[in-house]
Amino acid sequence: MKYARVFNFFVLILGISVWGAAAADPLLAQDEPRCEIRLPNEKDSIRFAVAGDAGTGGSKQRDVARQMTLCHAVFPFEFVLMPGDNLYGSEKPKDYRTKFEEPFADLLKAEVKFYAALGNHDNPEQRFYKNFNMEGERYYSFEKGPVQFVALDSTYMSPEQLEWAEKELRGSNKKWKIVFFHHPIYSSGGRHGSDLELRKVLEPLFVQYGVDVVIAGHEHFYERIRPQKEITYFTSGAAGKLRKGNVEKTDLTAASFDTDRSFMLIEVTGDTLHFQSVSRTGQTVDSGTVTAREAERPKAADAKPTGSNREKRGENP
Amino acid sequence: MYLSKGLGVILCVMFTIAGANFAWAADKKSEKVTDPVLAGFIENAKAYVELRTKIEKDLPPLKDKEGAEEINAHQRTVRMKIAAARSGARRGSLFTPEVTASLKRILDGDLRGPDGKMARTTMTEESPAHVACKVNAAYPSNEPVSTVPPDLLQKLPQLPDNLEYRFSKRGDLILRDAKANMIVDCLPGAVSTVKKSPETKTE
Ligand SMILES: [Fe+2]
Repeated sequence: MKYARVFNFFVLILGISVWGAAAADPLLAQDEPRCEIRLPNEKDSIRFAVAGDAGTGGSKQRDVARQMTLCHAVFPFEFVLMPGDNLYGSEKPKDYRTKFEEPFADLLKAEVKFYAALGNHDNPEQRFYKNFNMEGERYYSFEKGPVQFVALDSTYMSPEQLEWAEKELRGSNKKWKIVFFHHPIYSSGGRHGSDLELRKVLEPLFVQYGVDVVIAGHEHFYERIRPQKEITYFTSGAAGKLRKGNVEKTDLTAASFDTDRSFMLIEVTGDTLHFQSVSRTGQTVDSGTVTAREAERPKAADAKPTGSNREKRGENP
Repeated sequence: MYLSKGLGVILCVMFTIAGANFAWAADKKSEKVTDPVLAGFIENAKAYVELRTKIEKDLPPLKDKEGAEEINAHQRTVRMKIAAARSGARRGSLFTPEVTASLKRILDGDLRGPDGKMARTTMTEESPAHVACKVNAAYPSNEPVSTVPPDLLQKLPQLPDNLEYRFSKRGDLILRDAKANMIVDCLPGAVSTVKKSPETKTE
């Protein structure tokens, strides 16, 4: 009798704890975890995700990865961009397992490719890691349909790298140019903020060579910046780490989310890039579209000379 | 007649532009080696890279699709072999007093004033607080690296293959081999540090 009462008491306590945890964590509170897609989800489009500052190996990173897997089931993105801090702390083989391979096991199994850029927490030798697809280089580029992707190493923007980036961007005739690297050159982060040193050297290249979208991490939150000189900047650096409440109110912010982890889903269809930012618990925290800069230019026939490099190269929309 | 005159003018303009471009390019390239002391420093850095290349040639090459074990083992082996091959190297082997003076001139010139303060903050922010200024030691792998301002990298002599300048929180200048993740040389207190703003909580 006495034991039965003690048992009942424990069952009650357990019930209250589970209810409390569920109430506190929306991920547990969801009846049926799911992913609501607000993108066109067209068959032949370029579909990818973004997960910055992911490599903690913690439970919240695994939550994010699980949510990404849920989204992948309904929005089969082909690859994931990682704008740096791919592995925090030590980088022994077991760290590659616990901070990357295990959390993202389902996506890797589904043959989703990851393309990494180096962050300030990353050993440059990550460039040789098979799952980061960096071609053995600290900075590299690749193409998917009408999109050119350029990954930079923003921790060490040497003259050599700048020269390479310029050549790469100048030489591409893709409709879309998306550059990703670790340190945001526009940010409302209270901890770091905009990297002005980097902006000084990168922004002129982005403007001149028709970069459409720039994706960074480093700041552990999500932020979309109001277009700067026609370029849209995203910070998506909360796939593992979170700096709660760190987005300061500035004129730069178009949208932000700094109360939980997040990642991005992106789809490029013709002249439009559709984006959706999703929290660890599956909430959509931002969504919208970006139009290709090339598409916004007047057609060659009625174009007035603007001095734009792309028009000089004769790449008409 | 007019045609040949016109052609002459065009050719003249073309040669002038080409010449100016060439001079600009040459000037850009030679910018870092006008100081013979720094030219010597770069030669020594190249000799170090040659040593590493030789060591790497005896190891199974690292390809661009490796597993974590291979990457880790390769880096550790390269570091150990380099450390053994240059066991006599001491602080100042590459950063000799003359090189130090030249580098300090560049650093002091670039890091003065409000812009300089911003650059110094960038350089030392999030850099490891306790990286030992110790030649042949591994650069602490659990710690982040400092971001080096691109402006400063344009002024410092350009280093060969995978050697890089990094800074510690104390303002030490570290010559780091990114391939071996090793400290090749170290210059204590190369830059004065900036007091850090209080950190916000990171989960
Ligand atoms: Fe970072």
